[in-house]
Amino acid sequence: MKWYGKLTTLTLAATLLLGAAGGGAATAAASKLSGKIVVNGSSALLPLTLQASNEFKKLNPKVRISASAAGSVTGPQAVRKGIADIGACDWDASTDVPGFSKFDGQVANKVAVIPFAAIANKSAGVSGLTTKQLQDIFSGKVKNWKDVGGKDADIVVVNRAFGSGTRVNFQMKALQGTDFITKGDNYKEVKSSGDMKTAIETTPNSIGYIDLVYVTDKMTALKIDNVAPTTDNVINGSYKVWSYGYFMTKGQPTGATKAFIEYIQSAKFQNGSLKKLKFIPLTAMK
Amino acid sequence: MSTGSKLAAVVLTAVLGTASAGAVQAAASQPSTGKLQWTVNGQSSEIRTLVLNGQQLVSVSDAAKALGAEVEIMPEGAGIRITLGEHSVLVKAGSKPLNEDGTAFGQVVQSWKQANYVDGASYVQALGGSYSLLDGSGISIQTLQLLEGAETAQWAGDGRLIVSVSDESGRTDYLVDATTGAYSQLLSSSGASDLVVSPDGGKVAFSETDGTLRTVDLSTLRMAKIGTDTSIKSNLQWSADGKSIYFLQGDKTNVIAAADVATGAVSKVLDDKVEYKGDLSVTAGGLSYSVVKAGTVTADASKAVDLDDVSIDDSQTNPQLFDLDLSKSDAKPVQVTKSDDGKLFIQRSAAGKVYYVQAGDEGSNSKLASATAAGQAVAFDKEDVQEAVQAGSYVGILTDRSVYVLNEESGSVSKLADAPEGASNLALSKDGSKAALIADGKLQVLSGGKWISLTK
Repeated sequence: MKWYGKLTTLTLAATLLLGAAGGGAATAAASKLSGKIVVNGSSALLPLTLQASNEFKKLNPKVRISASAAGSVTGPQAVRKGIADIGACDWDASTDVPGFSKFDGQVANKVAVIPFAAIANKSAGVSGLTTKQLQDIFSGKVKNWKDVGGKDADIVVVNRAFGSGTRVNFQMKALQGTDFITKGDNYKEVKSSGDMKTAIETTPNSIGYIDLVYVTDKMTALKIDNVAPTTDNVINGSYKVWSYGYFMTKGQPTGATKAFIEYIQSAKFQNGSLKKLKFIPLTAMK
Repeated sequence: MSTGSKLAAVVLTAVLGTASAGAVQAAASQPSTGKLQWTVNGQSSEIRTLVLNGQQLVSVSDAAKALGAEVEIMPEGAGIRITLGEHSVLVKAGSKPLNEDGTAFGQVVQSWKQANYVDGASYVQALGGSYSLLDGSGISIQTLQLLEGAETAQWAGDGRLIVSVSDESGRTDYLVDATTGAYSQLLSSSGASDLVVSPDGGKVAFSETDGTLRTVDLSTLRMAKIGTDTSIKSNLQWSADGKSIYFLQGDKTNVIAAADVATGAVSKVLDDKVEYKGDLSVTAGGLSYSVVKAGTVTADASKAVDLDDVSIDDSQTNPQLFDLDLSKSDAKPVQVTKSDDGKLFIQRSAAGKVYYVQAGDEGSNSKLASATAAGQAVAFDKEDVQEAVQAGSYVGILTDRSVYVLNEESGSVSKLADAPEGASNLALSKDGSKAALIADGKLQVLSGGKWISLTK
């Protein structure tokens, strides 16, 4: 996995360095902005929300932010119910997607680009699959790894529970809308990215999918149609399995909620903490 | 001064040309002389002044000396040329000064008792310097090119500050002399973590976006790669002896790890499965950190989406602070706070207290508080505390109007200075004597009780 970054160090010269440095906005003094922001929804976006919250509160100490996650659909649901100000969602919930109608009146605020990967336990013996093979595996048509170039062993399909944004995006982008298998002896469902990671690492012959940040060296991140799941390939357009992460709000955001969203969308956060958490900045996508 | 009176001819140090008839200027009032303090690149000088018709002018020769400029008497009474670097000014009594392009500027040069006087601000600016009032008493002048923009600052060793500036492409870090503002570029990066200064002030550490850990020696500017571990790292902290770099590991920051600077080996210090640790702070003998709990969501995925069957319990989502004794290999973290309030700028002192800003609600002040296993206490609540910064056995406190220093050994709190409007990013040196902050987009250093801008 290759991350982009530029690093140069200039040798200290005896003379002064003249000329202006690129001036960004100065860090603001602590503001008087106050209020409470409740963010709920996507587990993929939770680390990002908490990091942004930590930084934002230093600039706005009188703003309280709470964050929680139980799957993307609970984000816009909580906003619609009036118990959350921001619904973190891995799809634009103001539009219809497979399995979910649009949430009327909500505004989709882009906050990050989330890459996803198809992943397999190392015992499966494959390094990549075609779209057709993925469709056949996740729909239950293909049941043995040997049918797709792996070893002779039954495939264990691990799926995310209904409501997961990762599941919505994988179905749309990797499976081109093909329906999932829903039951069977070699079928499991898990509730979060963390649970998916544990399941694939520890279940022999398993296959699943996950946001890229959770990929470890104890699993195989599969090439799809011979394209590796990397941020470079997302940015250059050759790898298609990604989505924008959204903060859904009831109408246009205002007050502290608006300020918080703008902070996450700022160049400083996008190019700093967001990249370190293995998301892709919004500006990287053309 | 009555109409028609003359000022004395110009004489400057050695023999000069005679003043021309145009060198004198009728004045409506008697001129008066005085003195003015100029602080040029951090060095103070007294400059003679002449007040004429309500305007204060400064001595050309005193100012040239204070600026470190060269003075040359031109032949045939052409005047005096003052040169500073690439800039020069020609001064002649009775005429406006001319810059090196021959363009006149400022006020007519006046001569009085064998000295020439000019308008100080335009004179300095024509010589390439910056000129600003020092809170109404004295003048601050910079003739060195200053760094433009400043977002954060921290003290390094030997009287320098590390100042960072960001733009769309990334961040550039500079070393800035805290007296003169002379600066040099240290690092240009895209996505690197903030630099963390070692306890002896001689090195900085940072992590790249791919998790690679590096250090830079501030004397030699040599960069070193520390090991090969590329796990997600945040909250870098040097150990007190400078031999290790601690960090929170993973995107859920559930592990506290440490990298040996010499070997690069990474070892786990705490892996208790507790997620979302933050605000790691390491001092001699221990470390502290915060834990933020995510809210608890109850949602029945089997129910129709339209029913919005979801509820959130966010009652325990304010951070709590923990302390770990590093002197005992089997020590367990101890929770040192239980209060339901926002906690910011959390740092552990060498004495083992965890200081933090206890965020107030709208309309109430935020306070400086401290916590140990024995309990929590308010350390300062006189004004609305905005930031706190640990430095040695001192805690710097920035309120909405002042800068204070808490001496942990004596327990006393003393006011250092009024804070400039809109101040942020207070940086305190380890001996508690030097302070810097960012205000109006500029790095400002406290000097002689006044805030001096070292960037533009």
